[in-house]
Amino acid sequence: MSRVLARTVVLLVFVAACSTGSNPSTNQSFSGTTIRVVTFTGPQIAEPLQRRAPDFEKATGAKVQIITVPFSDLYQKLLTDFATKTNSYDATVFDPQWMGDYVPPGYLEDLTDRVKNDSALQWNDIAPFFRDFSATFKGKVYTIPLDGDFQMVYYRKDLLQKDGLQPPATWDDYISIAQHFQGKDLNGDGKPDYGSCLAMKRSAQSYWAWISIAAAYLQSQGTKQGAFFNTDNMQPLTNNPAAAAALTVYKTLSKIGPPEQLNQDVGDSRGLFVTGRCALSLDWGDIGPLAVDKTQSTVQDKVGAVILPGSKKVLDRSSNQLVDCNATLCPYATNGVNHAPFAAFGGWSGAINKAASAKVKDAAFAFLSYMSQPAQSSVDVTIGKTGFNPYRTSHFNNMGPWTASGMSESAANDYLGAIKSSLQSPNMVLDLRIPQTAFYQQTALDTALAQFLAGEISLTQCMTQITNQWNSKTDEIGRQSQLDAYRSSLSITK
Amino acid sequence: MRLTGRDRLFLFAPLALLLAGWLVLPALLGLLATFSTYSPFATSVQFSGLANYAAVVRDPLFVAAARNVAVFTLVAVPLELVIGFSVAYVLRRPFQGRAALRVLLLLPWLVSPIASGVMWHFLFGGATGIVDFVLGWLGRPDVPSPLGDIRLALPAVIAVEVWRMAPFVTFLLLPSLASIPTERWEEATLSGASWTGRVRHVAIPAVRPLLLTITMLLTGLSLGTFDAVLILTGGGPGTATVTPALYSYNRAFGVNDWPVGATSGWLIAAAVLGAGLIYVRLSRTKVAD
Repeated sequence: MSRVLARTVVLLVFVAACSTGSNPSTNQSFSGTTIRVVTFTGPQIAEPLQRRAPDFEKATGAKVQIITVPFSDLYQKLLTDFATKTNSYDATVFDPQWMGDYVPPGYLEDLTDRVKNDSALQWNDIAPFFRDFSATFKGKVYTIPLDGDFQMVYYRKDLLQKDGLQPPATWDDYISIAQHFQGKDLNGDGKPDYGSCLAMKRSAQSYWAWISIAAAYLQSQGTKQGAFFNTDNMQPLTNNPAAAAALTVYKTLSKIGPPEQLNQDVGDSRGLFVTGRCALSLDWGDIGPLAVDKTQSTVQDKVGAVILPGSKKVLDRSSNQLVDCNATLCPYATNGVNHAPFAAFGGWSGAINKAASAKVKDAAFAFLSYMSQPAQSSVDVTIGKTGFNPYRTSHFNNMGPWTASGMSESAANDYLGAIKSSLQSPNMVLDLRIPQTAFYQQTALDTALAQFLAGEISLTQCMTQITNQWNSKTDEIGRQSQLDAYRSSLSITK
Repeated sequence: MRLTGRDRLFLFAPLALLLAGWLVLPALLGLLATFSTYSPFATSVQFSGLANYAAVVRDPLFVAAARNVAVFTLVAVPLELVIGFSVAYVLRRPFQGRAALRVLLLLPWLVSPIASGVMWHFLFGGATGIVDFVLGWLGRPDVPSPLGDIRLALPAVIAVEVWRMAPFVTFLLLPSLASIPTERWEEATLSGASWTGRVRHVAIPAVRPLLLTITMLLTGLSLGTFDAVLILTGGGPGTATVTPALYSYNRAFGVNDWPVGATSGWLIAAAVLGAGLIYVRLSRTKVAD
């Protein structure tokens, strides 16, 4: 009996030891340990880290330094710090797209066992897409998701109901609704307003918006099919009838909106939408909390959200033609419409520097886990200024924090419903994460889209330009290594 | 007291050391990088000859950037000089509040280009802009921001630069114009010189060396235009406002292409150096005159 008791005591001690890193209320086990966490200036993303760090410090004895740098410098600073072995940062809250540059050289700590052993983190509560794709590279977990980034369409519920219109199910629907409202007074100020407001500014978020449109035409057979390259030969999927259809939609939308839309980023389009000047918009989850913010919104309880519109035609990769959806081509279609929600950017995530000392790694993991645990994150995702959007099942089931934030129950249901249907889609599109992703997207794609929208190049020239630049970069880096990286990012193991 | 060569060396040495360590050495390292595949995180560096220069000058985006900055410089610099000089000419005679006005003239220049970019982004904006406020007040409909129009974006960016720099030109020229003896103006007036004659024969000769220096300064600043464009338009719409400095920044820091970033940076430096050599030649000519 005494042996059983002794074993029980040992087991309890072991369990307690395993959970020390996850529950900051347990003890002062990190006393004297300093964790240097780098992220971007914010105020989004940095704000919740700075706000919650003192509580974590009080509970664990650790000291958390939140170091902020401008977003444009973050990638470079991290890469320089890792590569030169300066190791000024123990952990980072960063764009998981950069895993393609940071994981292969071995800069990030493998967190696979840690997340399995941390019960307080509730790893299985994190939506499968973020767990299995966003946080994972080559089958191993490298990040803890803190934010659920993907794009959705927002619409003015009051306007659509009044005119007997349904929220857009396809991009054709989106265009016709936008055309219906373009030039009408939508906020009662006597001035003509806009059918759709998108971020089309160069060097901003334009390329994400285009991928959100193109995804529905390009990817129909699940996340592993990929929407950027052919997973057999790394040929870009940017010069085909599907890409042409998406470019045509994008160009059409550039003319059904504010006249200065080509110089508007998400700050502008969000401002216009929450002040009632647009019937539709395409954005991340941020508009939901912003629309209920009484200090800036005039559309409280008038906003609905839906999964990204889809397409009834998709790219048949064997014939390279745009063909009607059928059960084989579009196994995940709803009413014959293929939806491919796009996890643009991928959601801010926490990672740990592999070169940090063991104790600092433990403390850094405990801090990132603490930030992600439902008790903290359920509240943070309801606050607009955090920049964090829902990514856990509990974020959808626990309505308390949402109603406490000022959202009505119906608005919360609408908003969360759109997020939920996106998250549950097996056809979600993972953002590109291969070496030099920044060149592929921010330089080649962004420049070609800007030139196409401005009328400097034709549709054909645009597709050729993107394809040629992507192929050149792939050949320069190495086609096989890029293909391996792309397949790894999609968790393709065979 | 006359300074000996040793005194001069002693006085110049701290500045020389500072410049050598913080300017000349990094610049030369940057120049070396342009002939290689160097990057701070490259595992190996190879000599690449003039390949980076060939890549940059063949890149249609850099060609567009060079064209834009040429237009920018050729339009903005003369406008800044003419407006700056004209305002300084008007303010040359003492009046109450002139000192305060001189300080006010510095304000646009003191505002950082980033801040002025943010401010003008909103001032040009359809819903928030000063132009639309005035039009709305007059009962006229909104006009779209010129920054979203491919034909008007570059002129709008030039206008913001002129707004920022012309008062600075006034600030620099005003003391010289104000110090011209009253008799010179009176002589010109008595000899029947018109307003333009007084400007040509009295004002300009008095400030010519300074004017030349200011032109050089403005040209150098225009060739390196970066911050305001980054905020105002990001180089768009299309490639309408992209500049070589923005191109260089995007390549080096946006996509980690250090050799191309450094090469385009050195091409800007070469252009500024060319402008500097013209300045030196012109100032020597004037001294000889």
